[in-house]
Amino acid sequence: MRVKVQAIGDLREYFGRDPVEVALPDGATVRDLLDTLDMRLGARLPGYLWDRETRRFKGPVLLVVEKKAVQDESASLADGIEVRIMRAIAGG
Amino acid sequence: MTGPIKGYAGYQLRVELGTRVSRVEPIDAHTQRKFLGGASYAAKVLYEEMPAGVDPLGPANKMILATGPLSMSNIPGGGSIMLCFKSPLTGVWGESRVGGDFGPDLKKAGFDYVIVEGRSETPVWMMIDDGVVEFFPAEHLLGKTVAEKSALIREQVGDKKLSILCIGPAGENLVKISAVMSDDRAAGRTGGGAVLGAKNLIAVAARGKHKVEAAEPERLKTILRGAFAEIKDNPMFVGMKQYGTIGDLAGNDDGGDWPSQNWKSNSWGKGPELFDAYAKNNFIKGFGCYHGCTMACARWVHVADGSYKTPEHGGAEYESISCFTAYLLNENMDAAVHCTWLCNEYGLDTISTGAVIAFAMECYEKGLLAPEQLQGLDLTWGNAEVLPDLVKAIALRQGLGDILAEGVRRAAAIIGNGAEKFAVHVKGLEGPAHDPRSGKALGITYATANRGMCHIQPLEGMAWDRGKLDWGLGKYGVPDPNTVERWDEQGKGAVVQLLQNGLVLPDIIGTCKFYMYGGITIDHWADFISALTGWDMDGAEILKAGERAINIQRLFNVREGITARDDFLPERVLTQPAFGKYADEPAVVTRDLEGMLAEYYAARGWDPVTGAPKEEKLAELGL
Repeated sequence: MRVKVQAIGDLREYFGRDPVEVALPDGATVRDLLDTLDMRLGARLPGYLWDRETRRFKGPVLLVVEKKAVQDESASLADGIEVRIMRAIAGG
Repeated sequence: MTGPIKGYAGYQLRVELGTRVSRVEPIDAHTQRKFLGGASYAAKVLYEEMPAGVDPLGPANKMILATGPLSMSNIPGGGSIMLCFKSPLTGVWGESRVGGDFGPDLKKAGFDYVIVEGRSETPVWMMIDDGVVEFFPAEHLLGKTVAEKSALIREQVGDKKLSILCIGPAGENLVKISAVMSDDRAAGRTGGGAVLGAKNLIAVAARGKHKVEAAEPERLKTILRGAFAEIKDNPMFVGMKQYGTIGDLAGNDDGGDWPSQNWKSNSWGKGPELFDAYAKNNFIKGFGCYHGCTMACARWVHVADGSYKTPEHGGAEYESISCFTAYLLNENMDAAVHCTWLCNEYGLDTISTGAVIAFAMECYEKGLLAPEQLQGLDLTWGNAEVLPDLVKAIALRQGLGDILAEGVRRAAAIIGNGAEKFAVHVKGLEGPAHDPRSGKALGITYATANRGMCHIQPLEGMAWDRGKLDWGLGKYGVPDPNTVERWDEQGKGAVVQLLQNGLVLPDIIGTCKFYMYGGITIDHWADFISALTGWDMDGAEILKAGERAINIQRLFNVREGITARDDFLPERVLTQPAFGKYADEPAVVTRDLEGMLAEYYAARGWDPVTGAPKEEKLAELGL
């Protein structure tokens, strides 16, 4: 299956301006997507954004599907969905 | 007699401190529907009742404590109240919001608004107890910190949960950057502490059992339930809950939204390690600042030991910490947490205090401070050791602190020798910890905000430009931020006026702005108000009320002498960053502020020279 990964705002500086299509095995989970992102992009993401050891976002950056934050790494992803990577705080 | 209007407590309390006479005045439905409440209704009162040119620290200034129809603990963000007055710092429109339970408790005490007039001959504190007003001597509270004052008042009344607004020593000493505190929550900006200090009103407490009656209680319950369920998984809601406002630190540094070394740059590069230090050493847990908050973005923090040992307290917000780290090139997070706690206890605005210290450090760097002004202080950039003493000196008006207590605009005038070139303010209000060199919409909001260089009154422009939020305002004409480049300038003036009309709403309906970030839209607000009042309002109507609020505040400012020339950006902010990630990126610098403002005035219906709302705009708004 394939999912589209789209970074929002200035996160595109690291994840690319256009959506990235990621191929995953059928029934893949959020964890699988994070592992794939680490393999493809982990080396060039800044340390404040991405933890290479746990292969997770560091700080307030979240994966978002249909406007909802996806926090359960065991959640299954559906073929063809768009996963957004966005800052989870925009003010202070 | 039909009783109070639905959805409001229905009354305002007017207190004359000189005579200690208080009057209970009913509020009417027509006026409330037009202005809604908060900083909108307060602007109407101040504009109509107070002439131009009043001394902000004289008895003729009025302090209005203003809730909105949604200032109730069962409403998303309802732990909120606005304090509105003529600012002693800026000489124009002054307002500051504070969270916590005081707003909802004032309504329980029976009032939507309190209008404080005059001046007490002796220091007093005021209790509003279920509709009854009583004054108590407050000499014994003078010089005490905010926590000490609050504890003594609660002990006197025998009520550990009493909601209190009080000033610290800074307000007593008429420090122009002083705050009004509600425990660890601050109405920090524009010097409200000094207004109360000048009135000899040291604290106000409120409690009661009054219940606001909703027009459609069952409908209200249903839509509230739906709204809370809807926002639960909203990414902004989740982010604020998990990280609080300080979660912005590293991302803002990287994104060029972190003013550093008195705005010499918009990034520093130390954000990630400072956030890590805070997370490891200072953070304890998140909590809601008022009963009923499900977002719980407030942070419970401490410094366990060492020279900056600090008890557990609520604080370390993004703005406060940024102004005591990046502004000063201070790499010691413990010192920053300690100093922001000191600001709270002494009743100082953390933003303006960090800003005036940054300004002083640059004066020191440039050799502009005389030895008698310095009195041995080492104001080298990043010197954390000097900070706690300097914070106290500002609050107590000692030595150099007495000059800095005036804010950067007046301090620059006193110090002279070109210091005004790096005194970063608009209309006299020091800039906060967001930088228009991260996105151009913020520059327009800084130039035009009625209270001066503010990141949140009414709009955090960078949250649209860079954060890509539209707060549900797309259907009201706001372009999709994902289609906009943050450093483009064309078209942003018109967008900012639309966004301001929407983002001012929490300050007039009595809610926390962060719930709007977390997914509550103006359509939700309109539904809540309709169910409460029975008025059948829609998003467009309350958006119009937002526009009315901005215009009547502007009228107040124009009457005080503000023109389009006062809508500017400081030279430092219009300059290429001297260091950091964006030092070689020319796109970050605003090229045509005049052009953006021309767009803004046209969209607002304001005269581009006088800056005043045009007659036809006032007629359209019924002003």
